[in-house]
Amino acid sequence: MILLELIKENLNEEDKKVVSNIDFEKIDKEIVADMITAKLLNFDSTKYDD
Amino acid sequence: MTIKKFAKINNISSYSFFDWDTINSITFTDKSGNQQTRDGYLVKNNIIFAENTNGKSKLVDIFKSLDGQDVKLENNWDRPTDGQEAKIILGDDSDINFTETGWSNQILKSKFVIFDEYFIDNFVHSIGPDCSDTPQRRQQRGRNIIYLGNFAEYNKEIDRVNVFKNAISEKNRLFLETGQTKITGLLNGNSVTIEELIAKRNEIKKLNKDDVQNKKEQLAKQQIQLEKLEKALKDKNKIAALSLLSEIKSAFSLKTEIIEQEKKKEIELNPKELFSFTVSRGVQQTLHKIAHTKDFVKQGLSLFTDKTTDCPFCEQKIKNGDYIQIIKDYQEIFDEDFADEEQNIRTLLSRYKDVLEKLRDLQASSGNQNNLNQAKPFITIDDELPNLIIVDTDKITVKNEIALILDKEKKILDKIDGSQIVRIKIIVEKVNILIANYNSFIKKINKKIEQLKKDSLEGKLNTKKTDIENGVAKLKNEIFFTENKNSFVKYFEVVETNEKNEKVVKSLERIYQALKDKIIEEFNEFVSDYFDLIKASLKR
Repeated sequence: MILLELIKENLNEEDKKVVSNIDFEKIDKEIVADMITAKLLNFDSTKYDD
Repeated sequence: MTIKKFAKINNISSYSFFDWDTINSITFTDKSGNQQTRDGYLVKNNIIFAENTNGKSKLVDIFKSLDGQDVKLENNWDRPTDGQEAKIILGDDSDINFTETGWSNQILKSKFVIFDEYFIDNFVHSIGPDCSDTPQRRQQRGRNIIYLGNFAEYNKEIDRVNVFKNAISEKNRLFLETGQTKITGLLNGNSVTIEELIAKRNEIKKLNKDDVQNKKEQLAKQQIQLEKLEKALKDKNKIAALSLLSEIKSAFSLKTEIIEQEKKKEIELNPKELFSFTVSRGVQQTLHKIAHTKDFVKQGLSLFTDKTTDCPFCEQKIKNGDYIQIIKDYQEIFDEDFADEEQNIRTLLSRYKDVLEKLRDLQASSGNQNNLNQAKPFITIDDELPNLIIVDTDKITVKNEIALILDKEKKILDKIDGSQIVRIKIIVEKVNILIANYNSFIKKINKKIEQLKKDSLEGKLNTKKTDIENGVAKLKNEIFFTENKNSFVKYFEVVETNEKNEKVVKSLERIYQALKDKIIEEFNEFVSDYFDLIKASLKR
């Protein structure tokens, strides 16, 4: 995670928010779950069913 | 500063007793055949090689000790209690000596760069299956790229971001695809593409289901209009032969013009007055006519009765003969004006009758319906020709009024009662409204016929047909989008969510690019530092 920390300062606010949800100690699925909780992502298609 | 030779190394590590001159004094024959001796001093570049355990690493320990590093120079295993000694001769023939108390001077301190395991562990990395592996095992000489610094970990981070970004992108693509699947059937059935649907996103959101019925009616009308245009394109000769419909020229009015004192004057027909015309009324009207110029006649007549003995005009005694003569004189005046008045009444009665007969017989031109029927296959007509016939009760009223007139005409000096003039006025108003509506309809139809003929002549029917076809297609789409609005709005929500997710993908792409730029920047910095370090050591 060192390199991510090195670039963090120069990112825009939107990208900073994304970086703050990337924890490479976790697996991708967990990172996605964190981003869904942070309302950055949404893949719930059931609410769009007829 | 260079090291010329290790003159002595006694009782240090594997070196029990080392004497440079004994070992390195070499005798050889040169190219000219002369016998030569060389002391074997160290030169600018030297390679020290030997089998393992022969003291190469211990020699490096001595360098580290000279460099000031924390290295303990152990006693030889066979001489643990004896004293230690070392003597280094430098390039300027000065020397440095080592004893139990350490080096005699620090002239070589921090003058060494040693590429040993410590250096490799800290500064040299290579790509390998396991980051905890040793650099030597990971190097896999000849196959792997060697990175200086912590760049293998950096690279791994970059790859992870890229893989994660691609995974999110794919997940998002599938999310959109799932949403699309739900409406694909609907769209295919109406030949609408996803792109067209998306382009109309804002328009569809504003559609109102309450408008569907109205739009369906509009569609039906436009489809009929299209059929008619297609027919018009096939039968251009029939279009040219179409005739215009005739309007009813004027409305009904009870106003009429008379000439009074040689001037035209407009008056309203007053049936009650006309029907009241009698001898006495005739005289009164005659008197009324002369009143403004012959007041004395009016006053005289008002005073004249059967018991009158003096003439009101000449104030003389009235004798039998005189009285008769006076009456006769005035009768001459009255007869002439009375006859004029009677004729006037008859004229007005005739005009009144004329209006009523036209009301009774009112009907549209018979040709209009025929002309309309000829035009119907080619133009859209919302209504039929308006009805111009007055209702039966009104017709009876009109007929009765005509009968009164006929009676009056026969017996002009009899007073006739029973005029329905109030009712007649209402009927006239009603009929005039009918005529106005009728003429308005005729104007509308004629405008359409004229436009059709003009378009046909100018070859514009095909363009009109295309316009209507476009209109039909637009209406069909609007009806389709309105009826399925709920499904489409849900799909738009999927699209909007997909767009939001895509922002994260783009953000990850920017982060990925920033990481790639950063690793290059870091690498360049590292290389610069690294070679600066080497350069600095070479200067010494």
